Amino acid sequence: MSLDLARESHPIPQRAGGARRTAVRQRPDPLIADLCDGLRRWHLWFNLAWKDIRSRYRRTVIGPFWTVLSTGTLVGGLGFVNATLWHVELRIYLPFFCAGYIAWLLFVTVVNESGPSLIAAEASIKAIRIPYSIFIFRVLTRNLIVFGHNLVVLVLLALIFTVRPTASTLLLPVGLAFAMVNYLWIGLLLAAICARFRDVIQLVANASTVLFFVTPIFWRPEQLDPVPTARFLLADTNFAYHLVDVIRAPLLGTAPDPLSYGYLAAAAVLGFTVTALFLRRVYDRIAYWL
Amino acid sequence: MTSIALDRVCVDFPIYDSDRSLRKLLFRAGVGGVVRNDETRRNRLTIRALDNLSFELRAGDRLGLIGHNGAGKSTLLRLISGSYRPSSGTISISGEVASLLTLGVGFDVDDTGLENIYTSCLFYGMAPAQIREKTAEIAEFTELGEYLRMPVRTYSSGMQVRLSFAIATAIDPNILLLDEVLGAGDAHFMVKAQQRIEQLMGRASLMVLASHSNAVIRQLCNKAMFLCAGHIEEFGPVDTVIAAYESGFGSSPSRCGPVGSAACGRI
Repeated sequence: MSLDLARESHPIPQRAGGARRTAVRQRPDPLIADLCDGLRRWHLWFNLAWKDIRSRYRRTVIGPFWTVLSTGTLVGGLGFVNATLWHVELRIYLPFFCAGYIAWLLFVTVVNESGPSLIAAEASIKAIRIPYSIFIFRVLTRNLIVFGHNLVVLVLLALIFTVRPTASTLLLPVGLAFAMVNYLWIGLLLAAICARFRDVIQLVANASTVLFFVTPIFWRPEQLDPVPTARFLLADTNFAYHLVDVIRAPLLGTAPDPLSYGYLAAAAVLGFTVTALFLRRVYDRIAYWL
Repeated sequence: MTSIALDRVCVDFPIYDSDRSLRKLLFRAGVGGVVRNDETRRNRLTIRALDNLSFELRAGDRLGLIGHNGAGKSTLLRLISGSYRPSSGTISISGEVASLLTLGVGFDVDDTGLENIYTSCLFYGMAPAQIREKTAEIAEFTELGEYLRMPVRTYSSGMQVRLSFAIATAIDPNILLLDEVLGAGDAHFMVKAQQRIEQLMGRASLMVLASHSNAVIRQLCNKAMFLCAGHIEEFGPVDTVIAAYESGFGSSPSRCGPVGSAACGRI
């Protein structure tokens, strides 16, 4: 059974006379406790993620092929226009744009769906004791399944344009792992912040739209080389670029820049630290914000 | 040993209204300066939903919570379930908790009854193998028959009560929390529910139930607590407490208003 046999809650530190007392008793870190509890209950979030996919296509005729169709249409349409404008061969441009776009879709859906994830689960959170991370794992799993559907588009393009998998393609799971670990802390942090500040949901939606255009997804980072500052800001130091590229490069049969892995590892360490510190302050109050 | 102990527990609800926005906070910080901003944060309006509650329950106790709307019954149940953490004070729980505070924990109305049994049991923390083991028992208790293969959106609220109650009690909890939900069940179901609760109580368990029906409290509980504006007005044998509740009805409505006392606290 997963419910604790003994539980003790501690007083939220009160501010008395300007000074703040902190709880002195030992208590497991809320982030670590929540994640352990959440991971252990993978049956639940896997089930929820799968149900989300199923209910999205309930009573539709072609079901998940709608995902394939909409991604395929956008990649085909925008890809054709861009390739024509920039005089790039379709054979080269389409697989590049497609791989980058489906890696980007994973980023943008995870980031946008994490914010409201706890708000949407309000009824369950207020009815039983449940770790919040379950609802983040649900978002991650659901979008990983969608990513799988989107891969069909890339496979089709690879067949048409005879892009062959190489040894570097095997780095795809590594890239996905690096990205997902980062999406986990981003999701947790955003879900907690958005429960309190509902504007952040809109803010994230706006920011991620802008990010799509300033991140090398439908254009190559090499195109920035003439302007080193731009290259530095839009690619080298751009979090989204590294999150996309560790997935895109293996999909195209090339190895990502090792620096991307380093960047993402550092981001994960920093991100989890910030999230842990933040949750230490607010964890007990999240249920009251919903 | 199954027990619940509350020690000077307070619950303060922050009130945000329309200022649940980052922009406003930043704006205020911009115009108010550090001191003023701190001042605003500290004086944020909160509602004290539970005020300094201390009591203990042991195995065998079946507590009925009574009180007017907004007296704090549901908040207290959410606190015991672990959904809410106290704003101050401590609460210690030993025993496995199953709470039925809303109809159908984790239900998806588009799914069938059987699918919802699986999902809901996962929410309660059961393992898939255990769920498969219990499904037949749950299905039998509900007496819903072929309806279990129909989407839950076709169920009446009474049928949903049967399903939710069967699931919540299937995990054999030490502590069972019920909020008002039994109301929609018919007489036949109430008898079955009572038997099921007594069966659970036979195994060193504890129950807390909130209800506006004194009949239900008399039928299912052996202790009662009269909550009034977040504090304990009366706690003891069922008849005494119900008498106090009923006598307090018309005489002093102001003392037991539906709204908790507004207090200042931290967000």
